[in-house]
Amino acid sequence: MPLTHMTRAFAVASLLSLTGGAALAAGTEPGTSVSSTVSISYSSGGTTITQDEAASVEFVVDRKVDFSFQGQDAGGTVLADQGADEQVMVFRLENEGNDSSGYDIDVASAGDIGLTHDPAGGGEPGTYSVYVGTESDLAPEDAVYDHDGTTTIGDLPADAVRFVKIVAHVPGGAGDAATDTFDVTATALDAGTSTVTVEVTGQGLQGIDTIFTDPDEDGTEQATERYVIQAPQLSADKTAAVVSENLTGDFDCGGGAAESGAEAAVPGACVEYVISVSNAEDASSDAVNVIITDELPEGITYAGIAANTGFDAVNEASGTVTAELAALPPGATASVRIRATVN
Amino acid sequence: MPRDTRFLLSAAAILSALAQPAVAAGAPPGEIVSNAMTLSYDTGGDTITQEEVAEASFTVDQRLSFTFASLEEGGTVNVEPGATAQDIQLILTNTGNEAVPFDINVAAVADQLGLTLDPAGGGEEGTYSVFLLEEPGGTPVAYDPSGVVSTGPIPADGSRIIVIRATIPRSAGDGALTSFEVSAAPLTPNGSGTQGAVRGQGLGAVDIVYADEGEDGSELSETSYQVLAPQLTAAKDVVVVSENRSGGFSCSGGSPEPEAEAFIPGACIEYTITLSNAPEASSPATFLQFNDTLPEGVTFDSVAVNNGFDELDVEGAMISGAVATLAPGNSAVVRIRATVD
Repeated sequence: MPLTHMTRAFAVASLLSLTGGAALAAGTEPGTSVSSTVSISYSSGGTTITQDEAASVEFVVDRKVDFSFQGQDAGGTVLADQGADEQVMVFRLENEGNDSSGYDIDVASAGDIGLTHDPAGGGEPGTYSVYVGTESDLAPEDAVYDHDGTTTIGDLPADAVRFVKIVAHVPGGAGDAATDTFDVTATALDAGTSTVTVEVTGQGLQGIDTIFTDPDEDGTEQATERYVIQAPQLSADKTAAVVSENLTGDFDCGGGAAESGAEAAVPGACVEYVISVSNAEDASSDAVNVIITDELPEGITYAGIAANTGFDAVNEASGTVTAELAALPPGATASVRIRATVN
Repeated sequence: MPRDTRFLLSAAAILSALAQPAVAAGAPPGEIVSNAMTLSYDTGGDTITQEEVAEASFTVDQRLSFTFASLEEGGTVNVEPGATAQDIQLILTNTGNEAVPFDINVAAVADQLGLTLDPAGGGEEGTYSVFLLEEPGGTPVAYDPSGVVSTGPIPADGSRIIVIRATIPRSAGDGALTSFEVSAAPLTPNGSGTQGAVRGQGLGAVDIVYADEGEDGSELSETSYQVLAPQLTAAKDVVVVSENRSGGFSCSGGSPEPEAEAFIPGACIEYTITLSNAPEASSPATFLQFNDTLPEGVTFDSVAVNNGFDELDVEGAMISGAVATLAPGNSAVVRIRATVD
């Protein structure tokens, strides 16, 4: 008889006992009993003898502690303006193990911004606080979390995701390119406790081992991001020069061409202030809404604007000159020449 | 003194066959055997003859004699588990001088097979039935050995074949034995009861005398079924080949990693299925197959080793293998790799 023919008359036996729940993407729950049985049959006396459950073996699924912890911000960097409020750095924590697990979050920061930890989330400039939530965006319901010591953020079931958010309040005095680096670590805790999970092996087929399979296989993952301050690097310059000594009294101070050799700021002389504003080439950002206000001192009388290079508008009122510029990109300079006569 | 008086005796035996012709078993009971004598003598120069001057007669008695023997060589029938119509044959021969009905009783002793009597001859697994045949190859007639049941008269010198026909349980193990003690006892002519010995009937009536072996009117024959079967054992175990913590392990081809022990999701595990026929088994296992369906919680990956199976087949989670003959002392092993879900 061909063997394939016999297969049809072949009894199938399989036993499954799942004492735990259904399988997850992260895997079968620990403690789930997986039992399988083999049946055999053979030919005897012109018939087929079948022995169901001729042999079986059973094991218990062990506990796999696995999680990922990664910064979500491009380049690991959050660019922040001086004085900016609620600058959010986001880390994504996913429980990729097969059991519920709690996590302790620790934060170590260093840098020249000098942000300090405010466990209460008060929001004062120069401080940061930590929040935990289920969405990547900061939400009102996110709970403030004190990362000092060993404190659980709460249990994450298998496959669950949490977002850890560092929320900084940048001091206004932070300079361009100032940086604070945040090393953030997540450490697996036994569910429902503040006990750091440890590996357990040697429990055999029927006991439950605990195994770390996070990338470092140590139950702790670290992610690093940084705040970098984005600011213009503005400089201003102001010079004064005699345009015409106007000894004859007929020089047009508001528009006349500068006379060479003029140097004596005698009464009636025409003087010129050159005011320039520059944003350094290596500045991180444009200077926005730049306004120069120059109140002419006593002893001189405004005569006119000889030149405007780069300002959107220059106005004079009651001896005060105002120059405005919407945006001054890095490497750009705006200048204005103000003429006045010496009283 | 009488002179020359001389008796001349001549004896003549006369046989009158009242019922049936004479057989090897002897004259039938009830036959009257008479013997008359003729006397003659000389007197006066004459011879005087007196016919039937004296007579003696007797009646032939019944000799109850029979043999009962197993027709199976060594008194044993070798059978396989699950085999149907396994026959033990015995022959009952009436060696007496009269047709006699018999009662047959069958008792299973040392009944390791657990056979039960099915008087109707249904042939179900684990049952036996009794049949009578007029002659070897004749038509079997079901016979219920319970209580006193007549076989019907068996003529002098006649025989019946008694067949015990069993269907061996599939679960019967190698070497299991069931012996049958089969006894035959003569019955009264109407078959209603046991025929006892009858003596003291004198010359004119029929005595009934036991002449079977043991002279007790009962003969016993013992014959056995003995199971010849493979002694199969199946073993299954499971080990962790790799915990595959990094996720990069090739379950189908990777070498086992020492220290791997945890059945964590993603781990590569290996089931070993071993089918063995014990060295002391009486027969090979033929058309041996196994079937294993991987349970939920694991996913089939590959067959790592096949040592001894003629055929392996995987359909989804169901794995089956077959070997045509597994001789005593041999094993077939397959190693199946799977991953923990």
